[in-house]
Amino acid sequence: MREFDGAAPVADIRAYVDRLRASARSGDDLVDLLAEQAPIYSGRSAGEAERLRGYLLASFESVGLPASALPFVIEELETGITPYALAAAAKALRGASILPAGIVPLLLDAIDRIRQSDDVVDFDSRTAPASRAPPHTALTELFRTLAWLGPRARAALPPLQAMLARNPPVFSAAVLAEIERTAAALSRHGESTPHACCAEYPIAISSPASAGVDIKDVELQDQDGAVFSFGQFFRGRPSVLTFFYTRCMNPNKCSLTITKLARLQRRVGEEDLDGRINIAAISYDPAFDLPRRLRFYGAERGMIFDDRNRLIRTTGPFEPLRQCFDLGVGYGSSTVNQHRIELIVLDRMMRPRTDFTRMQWHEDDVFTTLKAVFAQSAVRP
Amino acid sequence: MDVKEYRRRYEAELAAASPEHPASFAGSPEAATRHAAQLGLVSGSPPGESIPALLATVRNPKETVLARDAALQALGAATFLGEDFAPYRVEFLDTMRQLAKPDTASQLREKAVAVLAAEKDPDIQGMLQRGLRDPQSALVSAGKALQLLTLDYHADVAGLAEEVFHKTDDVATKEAALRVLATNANSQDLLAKVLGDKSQPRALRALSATGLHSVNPQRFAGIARNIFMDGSDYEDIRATTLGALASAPEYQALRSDSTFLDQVRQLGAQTSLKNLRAAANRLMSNQ
Repeated sequence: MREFDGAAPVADIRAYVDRLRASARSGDDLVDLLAEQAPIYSGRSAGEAERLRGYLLASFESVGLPASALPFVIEELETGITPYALAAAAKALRGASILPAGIVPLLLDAIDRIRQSDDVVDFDSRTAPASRAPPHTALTELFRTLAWLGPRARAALPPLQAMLARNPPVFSAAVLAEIERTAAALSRHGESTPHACCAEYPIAISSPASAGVDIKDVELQDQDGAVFSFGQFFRGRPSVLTFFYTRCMNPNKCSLTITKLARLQRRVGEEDLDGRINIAAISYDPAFDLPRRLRFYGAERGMIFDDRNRLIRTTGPFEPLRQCFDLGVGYGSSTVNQHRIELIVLDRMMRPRTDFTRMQWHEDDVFTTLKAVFAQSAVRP
Repeated sequence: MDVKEYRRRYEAELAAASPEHPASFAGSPEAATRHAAQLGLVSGSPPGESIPALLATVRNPKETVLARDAALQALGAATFLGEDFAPYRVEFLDTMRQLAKPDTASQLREKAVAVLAAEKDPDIQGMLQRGLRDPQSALVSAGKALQLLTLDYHADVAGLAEEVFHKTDDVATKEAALRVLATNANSQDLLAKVLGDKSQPRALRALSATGLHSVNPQRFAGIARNIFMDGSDYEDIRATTLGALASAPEYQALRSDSTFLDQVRQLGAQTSLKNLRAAANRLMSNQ
């Protein structure tokens, strides 16, 4: 596979991807380029990184979607907010041979999310503009994927019919025509039950291995300006550790993460584990996320701060943490350009025991894991 | 631009504007729609129904720039209609992309560029950046380009803004560059230098104070203290820095510095400048 860095011209990368699109069995090469921390995105603006990643994702429609790429696609459908990224994910899905069970609601949610922000999308840099198909929009791509699912997406028929019935219409004439075609495709063949095609929804919970980078002495600072080392705070108690940054523009990512963390904090308090567990979130953007910003951001989302519940930044470089936990975060020249959702449960020796990455995590699942790690800590002095 | 100067120009343009020829920048959404109605561009029908006609007017090169501009302003107001506007959004954006070209009348082009920049459109961001590097190809002025690029924190233009700051002699453009840099921790050396340099225009120093206070409060506190203790610096700059020091929690240590406090107390009692006295009183009451 060819190596690209953040200085490589976008046109060169697209040309390379175009060549991969033409060859079978290139899916794995493309997956390697999807990681947020891949050098290809380094130093680029968020918009440029998203366009590149979207172009890569859309390629799976033609080369086939490997199972290893499915979490990236689901992540976009679940949390994406831009028409380009969602259209790319929808196209990628059409390259899948096995689909996760919850895919239809995800597509409908994605449609709802960009219903009022639709835009033209273009994933073809190879064909001369004059010979291209007429431009179409992100919503069109999402509906086409539902149509591609056919009767397997029959559960989407009532919402589609409701969309068609809206008066005055809330979609353009072109999109309404696409919805009509989609509804017809879903009704075809007289099949009444979903095709037996779908695998379980791939919840990304794993048992991570720390990358072997020693971070216990990394200096941290909390929302009140208190300074301490990673080891001083995290050693001795099980911990829930998430990552975020206050300038994140996607309400389904950092803002929701901290809101859910606050809910988890309340849950821990109700179960009488208060003070025996650390709950913390570390900023990806430490130079900007000064204590006052951390405090305001957390308080606005329901965090109650004390010695065991903190929002934190590194006082120096963030890189050791990124390496240690193999975090999915990439940077432009001044701030984060893309990141995934990350939550790690650490044991009292600061070892990662479980992580919830890329897809939305639920407080119940994290709490259950946390209780198990806490119980193990209690029996292992 | 100096605030007083801006106000003077604004009032002059308002005074010059007649109902038939509104100042293009001064139109509120309601005024824009009213004016479009006067020109027969919108009817009294439900809000969404006028949009196709407005789009057609904006796109029609045979219409006067005045009519196209009025239609564009009415469309700008219509974007707030939510679901009623949604069916036309793609066509609207396409129209804006058609207008965001060098050969379009400047008042239409600038509005179209502003719409797309507010959408964080990567292509328009690229064009604005190219225009900053190569003014011959610029769609809007350098100051406007920087202002529009600031709408997206993630556009990553701090490096370019620093370049522009150093290259230009135009204070308004420098101000726009500093507004970009005010959220970039890597630009704190420049912000500190401008803030501490008495030869720099005061508007730039005030913006640098805001920026440095935002990205590195400790460093700001040190420079602000020096500025304040230096009796020869401009009073409005001393007021600006003191105002920042008066309220933020990061400056608690400085608010316990007796030499500094004596000076603040003394100045608060003596100065005739209202802002400076208010900042001094606020700081003394917060210590």
